[in-house]
Amino acid sequence: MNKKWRKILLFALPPVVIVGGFIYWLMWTGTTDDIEAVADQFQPDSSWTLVQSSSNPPATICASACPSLTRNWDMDSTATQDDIINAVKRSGWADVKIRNGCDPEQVAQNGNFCTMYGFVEGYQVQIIALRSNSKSDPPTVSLHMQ
Amino acid sequence: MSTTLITAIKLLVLLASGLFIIQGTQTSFAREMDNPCSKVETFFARGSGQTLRGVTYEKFVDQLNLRLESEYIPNHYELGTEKYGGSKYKAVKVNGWPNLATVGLTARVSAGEAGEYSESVRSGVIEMHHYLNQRYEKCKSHGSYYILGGYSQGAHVIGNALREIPDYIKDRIVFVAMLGDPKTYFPEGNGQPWSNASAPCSDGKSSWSMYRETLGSCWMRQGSLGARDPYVPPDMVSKTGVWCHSVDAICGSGFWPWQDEGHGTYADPGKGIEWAAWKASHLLKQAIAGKEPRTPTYPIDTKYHFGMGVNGQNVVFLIDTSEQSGLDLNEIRQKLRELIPKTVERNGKFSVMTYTGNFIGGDLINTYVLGLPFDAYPFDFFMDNDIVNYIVLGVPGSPQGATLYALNHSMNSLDWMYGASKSLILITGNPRVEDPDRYHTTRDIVARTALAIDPVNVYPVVPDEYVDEYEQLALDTSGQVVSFTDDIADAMDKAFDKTQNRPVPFLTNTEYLADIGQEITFDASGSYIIDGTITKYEWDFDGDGVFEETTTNPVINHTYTELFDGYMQVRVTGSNDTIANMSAVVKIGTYELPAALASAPENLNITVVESVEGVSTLKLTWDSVNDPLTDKLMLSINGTSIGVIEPSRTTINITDIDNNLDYDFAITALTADNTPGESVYATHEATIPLDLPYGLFSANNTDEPSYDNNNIVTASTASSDPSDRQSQKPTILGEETVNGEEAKAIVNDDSFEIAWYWWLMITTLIGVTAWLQLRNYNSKVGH
Repeated sequence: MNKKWRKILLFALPPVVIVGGFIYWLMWTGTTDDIEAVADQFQPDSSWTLVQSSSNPPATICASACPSLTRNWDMDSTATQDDIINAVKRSGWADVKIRNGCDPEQVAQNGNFCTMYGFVEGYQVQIIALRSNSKSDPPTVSLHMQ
Repeated sequence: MSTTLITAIKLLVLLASGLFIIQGTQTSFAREMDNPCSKVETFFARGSGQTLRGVTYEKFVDQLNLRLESEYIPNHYELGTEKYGGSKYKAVKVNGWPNLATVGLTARVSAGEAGEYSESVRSGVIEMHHYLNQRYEKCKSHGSYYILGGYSQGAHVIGNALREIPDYIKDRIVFVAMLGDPKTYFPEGNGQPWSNASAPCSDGKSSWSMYRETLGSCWMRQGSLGARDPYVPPDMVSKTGVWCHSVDAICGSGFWPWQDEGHGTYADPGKGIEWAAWKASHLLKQAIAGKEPRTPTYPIDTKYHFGMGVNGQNVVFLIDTSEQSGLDLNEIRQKLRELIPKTVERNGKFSVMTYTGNFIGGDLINTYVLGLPFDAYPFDFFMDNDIVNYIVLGVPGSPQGATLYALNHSMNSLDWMYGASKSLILITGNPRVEDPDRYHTTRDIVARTALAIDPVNVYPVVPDEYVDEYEQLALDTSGQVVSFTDDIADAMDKAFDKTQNRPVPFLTNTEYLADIGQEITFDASGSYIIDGTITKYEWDFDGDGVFEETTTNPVINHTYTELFDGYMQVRVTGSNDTIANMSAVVKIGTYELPAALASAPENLNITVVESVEGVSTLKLTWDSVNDPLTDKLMLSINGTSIGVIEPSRTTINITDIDNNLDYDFAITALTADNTPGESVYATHEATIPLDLPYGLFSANNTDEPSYDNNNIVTASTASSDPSDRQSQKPTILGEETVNGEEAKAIVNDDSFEIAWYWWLMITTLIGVTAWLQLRNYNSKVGH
């Protein structure tokens, strides 16, 4: 390698590598394996139907919450707040506790089932159960983690 | 690839599509539009890359349902659920590879006006208009109210859509919640030394934008995609709330793009969405009751009881943990475990701070052992992990004199919530010692800081023997001293009760401007108290802590006889032995009169130059302007500024006018520093009306004029081929273009600033690296 090329390499390569590394770092996204593994601990009732599952991997630049995960289930129309509480208990998520909800009067009045909140293995977990607008549609439960 | 293979793939795709459709019809037959009409309708737009029914939407719905009685449970619609007006909101992803490079950066450098991101926003705007209008037509006999919410890209959609929503629908909107909006704009930041800086939190509150709710930083002015100016239409300002959490680069509170952890926190307990839902439900109840919005009334909500303020309460516990204070920290911790949940139950925010005073070598260190700002931790996490256990004895030092410093510093360091009632419970066992030489703080400075922050009422909890020493400090801040002999827990309870049961003072204005000798009416008749009655109003007209007048009437007239630029305050006393105050800015003879407006031309007329296959060229003409203040004219189409025209001109041609659509034109006079003056308006009505009563938007024309701001660009001659028009914006042409020549128009663009920011960042990195290498090389050569 002649002197000229050595000079070019000496001066040009490090900035290119640094800028490239910087861009790679900006663009970096990780995997969702970890958050999904924690989400898999959740034990929904066997009668529930999973209708949606999505996740965002960790990322340097994030447009919402990274990592995060959302899973939605349709429930049986006769489901009660106990079904959700039991699902959380079955999952062994002792730190996920009721917040703002799960009282029978509220369910009757507002159509909301339950809001539960807590931390599991470092992830913030929110479980929100709602009735849909159209009362004929089944109620749904959403698991959100981030 | 052979034709057979391609055909087979197409068949498979068709088959799969068919199966999908069949599957779809089995699970969801009815359209959302068919849902029964409700008294309350909500619309929510999700953020970039979020799936439908993500956490922000679910939280929004959940929180509104929780706060409304059964008869007002809304019908909720999430944008992107179904196709309306031929469009469905995409919420395109902007991060990760390759989205950041292809979508995110394009959005960033174009201020969100180009590329896939822009199309995604457009898709949401169109869907929203069509759904909203159809829903309005379907349900108008129900007198529905509307609540709108948007998160991140969704807030961008809502903000853009508001520009075109018809007045009769806007009248029915009670609240618009904007969360983490990349197009935030706080004009109070204009004119600050840095282009992205706003007025500090505790300063200039009188000129805060009315929609400003929570700002994560004192030093922000606009979102990552530049400002939408005006942020919302003028008639929507009072119905809009903007939340921009700390460390959220998307909405502008983080400086670097990767400072974005706060962007994912809006659905967290106690954060933006809960506040937005509370506010929406509060305003909805007022609207239903036929009351003027934003007037504080009680009880607002028996379940979610707000003890204080039109916007909740902020409570700070500031604890002296010095050894000399001699306080029983165990008792304090135990009491905080009771009081903090009470604050949160009432949707209040709390902060815990401790201080000692320790000098080493003349420098103050270890002042704070624990300094938790509001929302430092989610409440449950705070309680579950017993964070109060971190309140520990401070290192030995010189605490006397540190109290005033700690008070002032803690007040200045916190992100107080605008409109919330603010109190600081100071717990100390030390006397109040003024040591301005060492701590640079006096009682007067503390009082002024407290007054400037909306204000903050200080409640010292001190041993009996120090009551006198803290009495004046409490009075200066309209707080009250609570003393104890042995039982500090009981004293903390009493102080806390005072913060909860005190009156809520309310002045009709937060800023008063007048000339010397001109009478001003201060009206505090909006003040109220839950537990008791208001017994007196005390008036301090110059903010010096001396109350010159005491009345039982909430209205008083006052005339200032000399120049004044400062605060006045009113202190309200309740029959339950509680007090509170409110301050307002007063400028007597020192305020600047609004600059004279530049004159707009008169007689704006529109004529059709030509019309070919549904596309026209219009000629706009107007009278010449003779006002020396008018430096240039700004042309707007449908509320969007298109470009700037030299003031000597009196005509301009606009091509690519779709005959199916209405166009509103405006010419606004601008001064040399681009201050808008008067405007003149004209409308070109559609000559072939579509069966769409929604203005600009239609399924087959999704283009709108871009909003630009500050560069010089060349507007090219538009194609006259109607087939091209789907991809073109209306184009400004000079008179010359009739003869085929190009004309120049000056337009603005925030993207220059953003592009410059990126360019500077990368070149600096390269430059520093190259310099280091060169230095290394030279030193090697030299030796």
